[in-house]
Amino acid sequence: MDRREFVRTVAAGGYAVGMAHLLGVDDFLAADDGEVPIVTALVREDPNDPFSLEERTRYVPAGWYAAVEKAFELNERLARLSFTGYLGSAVVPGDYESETATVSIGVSSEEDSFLEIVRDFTDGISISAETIVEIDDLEDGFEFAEPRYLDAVEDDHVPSGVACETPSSLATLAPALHHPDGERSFFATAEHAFKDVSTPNGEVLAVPVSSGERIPLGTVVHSYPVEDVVAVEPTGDVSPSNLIDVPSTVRVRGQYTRFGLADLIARGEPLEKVGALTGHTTGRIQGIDAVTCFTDDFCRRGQIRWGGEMDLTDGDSGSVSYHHDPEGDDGDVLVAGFNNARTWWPGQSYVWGVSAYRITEEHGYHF
Amino acid sequence: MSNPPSDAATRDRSDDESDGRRSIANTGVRLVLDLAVVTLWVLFLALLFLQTAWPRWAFYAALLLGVAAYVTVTAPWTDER
Repeated sequence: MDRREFVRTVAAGGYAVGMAHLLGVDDFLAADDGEVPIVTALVREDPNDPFSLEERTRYVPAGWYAAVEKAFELNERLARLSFTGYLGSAVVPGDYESETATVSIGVSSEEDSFLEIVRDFTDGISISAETIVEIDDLEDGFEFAEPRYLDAVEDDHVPSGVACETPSSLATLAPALHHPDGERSFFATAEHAFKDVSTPNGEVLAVPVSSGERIPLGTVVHSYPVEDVVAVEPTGDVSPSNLIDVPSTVRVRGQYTRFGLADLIARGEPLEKVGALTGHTTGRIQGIDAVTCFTDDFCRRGQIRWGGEMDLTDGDSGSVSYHHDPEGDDGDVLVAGFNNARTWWPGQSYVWGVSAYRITEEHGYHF
Repeated sequence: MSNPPSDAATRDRSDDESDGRRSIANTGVRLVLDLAVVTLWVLFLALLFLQTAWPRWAFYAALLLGVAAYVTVTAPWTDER
């Protein structure tokens, strides 16, 4: 090694160490033993008062926490960098014993050789070997052709998980969204269910009943195209409800935080959903805090990937994914997020949609 | 050389100038390339270690060995003289 090479090695090495320091790799490489508390969910203290939220905490290994926290941070950096060919990425926390986390990166295969290098680099850290679809059970009795219509309105409340109608299409009604400003409650569904209009604001959302009636719910007052959610202010006789109409009705008691979802993955817990067309399905979580740039000309952040592509079809948009509340009453569930799209390309199979925590962070609403 | 001394002196000077410019350009390209490669290497290692829980010393060892190997391998490519 001559003098010039030596200088170059020292300069590049110094830069590398500085860069590693800047990324904060020591945060997880030198994480302490022991446990740290994380907030896993926002849950109603009083099941009937949506504004009595309290935080639920859990103690997790410090090494696991450091790895997951750093994975969120690196994922955020990748999204901001959004190099050519970047299609999205997601964080997949490992289990508590492993104290690891994976960042899965999607790169377009149509790019040039520079991206081949990136692909080679990222090959080792993708989750391709683990992305095996796991569908536990599709419940009997649903038919793709026949949407789940509401049977009847009880107590002036319309439960979620049933078909709702926009002027242009059919979607699934989500559980009530609540906003702390003025303590208001809204109906909610997917924004893209309102087709052919520049903004869905002012459009009417209605629920068809199996008897053939059509109950107007209200008009859209806020729409969020990036999150793919609309908030519908009740104007009729019926109010939004926190019940989900599954064979055995479940009650929404709150929502998971980002680390709450990480905790579900670490423990291998599945998510469930009730769509107007595919009905009740269960599936494994494949990634959280995901960035998806597959559709539209912008990227969506804070997405959940879970289940398989057969878990969702047109008309299921607006349904929510949830998991039972381990500390709540029987039939209490916590919402993970919305389900609004699914993969249509080979090699991967999942449903995705915005996480509940993301909507809370961005717009203040909660379940 | 058969050229008169004055001509030779003039040409030598202009050659020196263009050599100098090329060398600066080469250094610039190499620097940018080095930074890009090293940045990718750091990012790759960080992501790799995040999912493996290997020890800290291994991270820095791999980091610096990688940089040294990169410089050693690429050094002959930029040597034009």
